[in-house]
Amino acid sequence: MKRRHFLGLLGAAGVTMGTGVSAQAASSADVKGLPNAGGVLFDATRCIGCRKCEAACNQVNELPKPAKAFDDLSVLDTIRRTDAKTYTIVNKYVPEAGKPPVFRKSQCNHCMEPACASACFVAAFKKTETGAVVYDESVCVGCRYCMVACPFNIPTYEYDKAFTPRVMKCTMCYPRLLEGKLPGCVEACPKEALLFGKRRELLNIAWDRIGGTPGRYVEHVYGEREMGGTSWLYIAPKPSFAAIGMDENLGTASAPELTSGALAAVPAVAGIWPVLLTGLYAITKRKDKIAEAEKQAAVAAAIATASADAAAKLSEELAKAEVANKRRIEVEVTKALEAAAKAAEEGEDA
Amino acid sequence: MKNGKRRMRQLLAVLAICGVGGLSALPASRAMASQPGSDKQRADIVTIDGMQAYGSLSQPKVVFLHDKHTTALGKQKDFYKKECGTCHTSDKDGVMQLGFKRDGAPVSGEKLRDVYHNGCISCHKDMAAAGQKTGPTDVQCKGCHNATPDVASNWQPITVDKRLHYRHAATQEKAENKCGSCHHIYSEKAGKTIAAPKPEDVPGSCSYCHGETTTVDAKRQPKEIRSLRLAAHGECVTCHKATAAAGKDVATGPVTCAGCHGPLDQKAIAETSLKKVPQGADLRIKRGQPDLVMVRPAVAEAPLIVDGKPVKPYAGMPAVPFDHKSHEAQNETCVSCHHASLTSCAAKCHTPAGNKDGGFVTLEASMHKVGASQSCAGCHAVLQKKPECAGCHDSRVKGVGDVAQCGSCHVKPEGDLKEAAAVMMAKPAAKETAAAEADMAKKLLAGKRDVTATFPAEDIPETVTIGSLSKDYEPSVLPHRKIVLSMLAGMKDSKLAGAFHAADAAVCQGCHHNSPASTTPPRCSNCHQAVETTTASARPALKAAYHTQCMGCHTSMGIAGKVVDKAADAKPVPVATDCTGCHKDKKK
Repeated sequence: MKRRHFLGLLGAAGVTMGTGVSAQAASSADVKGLPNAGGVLFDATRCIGCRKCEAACNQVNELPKPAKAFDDLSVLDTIRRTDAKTYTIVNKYVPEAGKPPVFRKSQCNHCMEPACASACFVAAFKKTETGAVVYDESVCVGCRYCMVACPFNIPTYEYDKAFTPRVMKCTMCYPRLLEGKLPGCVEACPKEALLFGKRRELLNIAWDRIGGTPGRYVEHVYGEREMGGTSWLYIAPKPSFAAIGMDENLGTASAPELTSGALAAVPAVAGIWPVLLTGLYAITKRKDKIAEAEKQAAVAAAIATASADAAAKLSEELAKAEVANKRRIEVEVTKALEAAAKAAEEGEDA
Repeated sequence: MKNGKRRMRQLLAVLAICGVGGLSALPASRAMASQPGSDKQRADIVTIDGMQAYGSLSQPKVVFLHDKHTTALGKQKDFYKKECGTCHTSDKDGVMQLGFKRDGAPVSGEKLRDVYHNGCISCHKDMAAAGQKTGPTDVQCKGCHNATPDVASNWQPITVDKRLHYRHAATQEKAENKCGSCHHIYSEKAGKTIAAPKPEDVPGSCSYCHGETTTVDAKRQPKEIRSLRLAAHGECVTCHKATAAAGKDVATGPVTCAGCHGPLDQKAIAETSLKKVPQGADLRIKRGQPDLVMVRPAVAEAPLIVDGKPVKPYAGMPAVPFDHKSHEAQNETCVSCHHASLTSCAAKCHTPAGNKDGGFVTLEASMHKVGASQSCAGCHAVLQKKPECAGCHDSRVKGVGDVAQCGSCHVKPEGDLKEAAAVMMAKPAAKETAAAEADMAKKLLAGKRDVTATFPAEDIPETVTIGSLSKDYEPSVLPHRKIVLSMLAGMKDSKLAGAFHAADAAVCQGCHHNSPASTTPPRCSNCHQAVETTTASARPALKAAYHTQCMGCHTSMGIAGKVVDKAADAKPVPVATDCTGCHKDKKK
């Protein structure tokens, strides 16, 4: 497809989007009325990097055993990310050379208004009352828009499964929450670096800790407002959240707020796709035809003009030549006549 | 074949020569590299950027190495008889100007630039003409205007500490006006600065008058009060130089930049001070200060009226008995607390309501602000960060900032003292009341401990077994007595700790916190629930409480992973992730 055609297609998509009345993202409706949503407060000043949370997560979610055992802390020497077999990982950072390292746990942040849910056109993701963002594999079509949409790069895909690949991410141990149990990682943490509770209560505790020990924490609760707020909240020692690998420039607008227009149009675009493509194909085909005809006409015209010009020039040249020849003939004739007259004269004299 | 062998031999010979040559070249090149390397950290970097005052610079700032120039000129005595005068002019009183080849009079930008260009380049040229090694002489700007100099500054400010002050005072012992040799004051009568006539006239630290920048006071002569930098260099260096010139055997101070501001030289000064100042010498800098004093809290301007009678001001917060002498011993200079003048904090600046002179810092804030190192609470908070204190004080509000601790400083007079305090506090503080206040302070402080003490060792449980949560691991056996005794050992030299750890159980409260001090503190599980629930609480559950307590202390004290016990078979204090270091694994 040529670039201009692609842009044309985009323009067409824009038109359909404009006509789509609902600019609301799929998830916004789910979030309203969740004042008691649960969450987890992660305190980076308390985390010791023991990986007990990783081990517990692996156990309660019945995930495959990793290559290196969970008590092997040499794993922390490299920065890792979540994958289809690992819902959570702890990374080690050294914000200031010579000072003790700081550890940060990474997992799904269970956004209040999840980007994954708003990007999913089959509504496979849902923000639940517990605070957990859960995934329904039975409706998932495997488009992986959720993975692109997530600002925290959390959802992963079972690329090694040929027939039933799933999107994999932390569930906040949703089934356990329904039983009144703590998420596996929270229960396993020996230092309460992870604290489960109602999100609004966790915010108070977080700010109490920040205010109660001046100078220790960055004066910010990460997740209070990031991307419209997340159920997982973070407090961290100075100097910054960026120093422990967290994006400080995400802004406070939720994903649906940012993308409601474009992403709400996704189902519509998906439905209209064949029609749109066929239509566009027809349009471009027709355009091509017209262009071809125009081109031929132009060539013919050009040729016509050119030959007319040439003919005119030729006749002109011919006319000029004729005049010259005439003159030459006249001159020759005059010369001959003069010579003849001379000869006659001489003959008379002789 | 023969030919091949010969060639091979030739090749080997060539290789051998190259090899030897390469090896012998190696140490030489290393030595060359290390020579300038040691000179890369310098204390004498003067950045010449005076043109900044006239607009943005068109060339990078000049990095001028002052000691390098003085050393080079020092070797040229015959060539430059003027010494400092080569670069620095002096005024009619013989006081050296610190600017390069100019006095303090204002000059235009072009003039200033020409002073430098002509002064530097002409001198370099003269020296080059005389066949001397010298600096850039040509018009290549980059020679001096180097944006990426290969030197870095290790300059440090110098503090005239008590020992250094003692050494200076000792040199003036025979002088008619001992203090006046250095300390001057402004005399209105003379219309200029004069040597402080008597010790009590000394205004204190130079920094009280000489600020960061030169200030102008139109009402006096001379109008300018030099910046501390100009004043210190003008007085100290000139005196050191003059002393050195006067007699060969007279010991005197440094005249080079590094001599005062280089880290190694400062270390040497401190070592010499320790040697030169006799043991037991009285290091106090006497400014008429009291040994003991009552620090009065802010009182309301209009007294509170109760039942038609004014309530006496002291009836509010008791005054603080303050051991000034002891605090002097703990600090290197008066400026540690008296940061702007030697007068009382409340007299002019930190009034009860605050004013402009004191930056609107009220008397209360000036004493209690934790973030300010000059305040009582601020300085104590800094001390609590010492490893031996941080174990308990790092994560707890106890101590500084704990409102329950007001009485530790604001000692409440009891018994006979109650009446005496009432009488004393009814009168404003004055010279006449000083003796009575000192006496009162002495009596109130008499009850304070000099060292931290606790219960007799045999009454401290030797071990405590923590096993109520034991599941994957065996119970942990805590060496309880050893921990308590090592904590005590850490603060055995601290009078401050003694004064503030008033009761025998104070030390216990580092761990047995938030409950009334007692020899039988409640079990941890009384407050910290053993079961973790989905209801968030600011109070950690039992497992987290144990781990936070132990690991937090080990980390704050910096002992995790280190052997602190002196016993031969001592093991290091377990690091936080060493689970089996504290409790054995049940599975194994």
